[in-house]
Amino acid sequence: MIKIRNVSKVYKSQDKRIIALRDINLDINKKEIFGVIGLSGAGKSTLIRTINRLEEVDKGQIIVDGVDITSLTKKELLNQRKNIGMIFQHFDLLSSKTVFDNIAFPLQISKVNKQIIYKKVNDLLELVGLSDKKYAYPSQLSGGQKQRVAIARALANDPNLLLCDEATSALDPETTKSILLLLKNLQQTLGLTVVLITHEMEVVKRICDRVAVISDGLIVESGKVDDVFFSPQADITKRFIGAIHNEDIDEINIKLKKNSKLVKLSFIGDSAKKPIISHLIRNYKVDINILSGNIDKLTTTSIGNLTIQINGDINEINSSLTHLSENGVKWEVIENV
Amino acid sequence: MFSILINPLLETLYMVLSSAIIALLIGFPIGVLIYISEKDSLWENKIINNSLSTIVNIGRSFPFIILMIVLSPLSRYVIGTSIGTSASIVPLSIAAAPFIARIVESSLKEVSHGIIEASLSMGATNLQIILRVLIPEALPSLILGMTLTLINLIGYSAMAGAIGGGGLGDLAIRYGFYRFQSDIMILSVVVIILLVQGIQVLGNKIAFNLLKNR
Repeated sequence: MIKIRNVSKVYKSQDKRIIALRDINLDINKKEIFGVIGLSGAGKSTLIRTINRLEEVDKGQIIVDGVDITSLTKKELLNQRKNIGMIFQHFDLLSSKTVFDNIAFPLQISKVNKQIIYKKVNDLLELVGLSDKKYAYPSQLSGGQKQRVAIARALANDPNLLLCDEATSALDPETTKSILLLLKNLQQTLGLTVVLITHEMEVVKRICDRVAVISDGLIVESGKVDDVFFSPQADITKRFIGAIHNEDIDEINIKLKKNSKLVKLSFIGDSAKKPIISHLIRNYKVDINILSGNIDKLTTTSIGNLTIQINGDINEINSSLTHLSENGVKWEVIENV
Repeated sequence: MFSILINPLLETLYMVLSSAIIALLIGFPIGVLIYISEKDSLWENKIINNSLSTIVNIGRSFPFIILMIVLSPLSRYVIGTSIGTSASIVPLSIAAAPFIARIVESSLKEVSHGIIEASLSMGATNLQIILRVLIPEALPSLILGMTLTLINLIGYSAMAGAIGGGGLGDLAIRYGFYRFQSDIMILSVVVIILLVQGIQVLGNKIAFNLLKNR
């Protein structure tokens, strides 16, 4: 669906050169939800804006549905943009227009017939669950409602691609959930391809099929969300995943006894269903103290994490760790005493 | 005594309103051009931006009384005479146009960049963005700016009495000042105050109504 090839972008100001994107290569499949996660300033906003050319690239190509976006003329670009919907962090609705007119706006500029607009807007309002707010002004809506209007507006021209620029970052956790659910439903019913950028792993976890991690203008890691969650490679990825678990090892603040290890275990799929811990205690001479645990429910599978303190004879500890590996549990020693 | 006020009042209204319309026709497009030709705006163009900005600054630097004298040949060319109520419309329009241009520019700048970006993402053309996004979004601020312009023009039009422009200012000077008829001077000033007050209240009301729902 989208092929991003060797894309680079530098911002030049009078005395500074800021490299926003360094030789980015990405493939985004049809009808998937693809997440790009990064800290602010990592280049993710620039990246998503190159897809509808709100930002020009310095080098490289962006091919959407076989069309090279970077080589379109101004007029072709305006038409192409009508096939790509976009929503934003701050909703960016027209304050002077009602909800109805906001959603009608992209149709009006495409010079669609009035009766068709009327029907289309009413359908869209139904789709996002805001039929009762038809004649309200944006200022009379909550954040979540505004984003729903923005989603309806982005879908007005029947795009097959939806770009989401930090679409839930200005919303509270509950509203974030409902907006993500709506996006997921729309993606499935309309067969959309969705590209979203975010700085919250929570968003990726909830709805993305695949994810790319961007840091300092560079894609440092990418893959299926469950793979990335189960075995994150880059430090930044580990930090993003750690952030949603609130697991700061320092915060656990435990004094390790002699002959013990602090170990982080990760379970995926089947391994999560076996009574592994009790098996270890029964078969090896070790004591296990569970310090923290959580389960990430991803779109396709679940991943469990457990931080344990394990103590006993060093050989016994090592054999129990081997036992873990044999049973598909990934482990990582965080601290040794 | 009140009947003496009627003609000057009509002359003032005629001068102010017609020069406001002409100034709007000249100043509005210039303001829009300055805005869209700015850096990172819709149609970045340094040369156009700098030259229009300089012209506007020069226009705004002239003291009105000098502008009237400098522009008298133009008035003669356009209106056919360089004195009288109609002739003063020329310097009044030229004085107000750069002012309007700046007001338009600063009002448009208040529209958030996000809204413009969202419109671009929908495939809107620059013209569609100007007409359907920027102007409607900036309308309350534009209305207040026009109110300011009208009030300025009332002040200028009083000075236009100096080239025989007539109007309330002229009445105040000729009857009130030169003939020591203080009552007429006071009366004309009171009418000017009422006029200014009325325009301000009206402008505020329109802007308030536009903002009510936002």
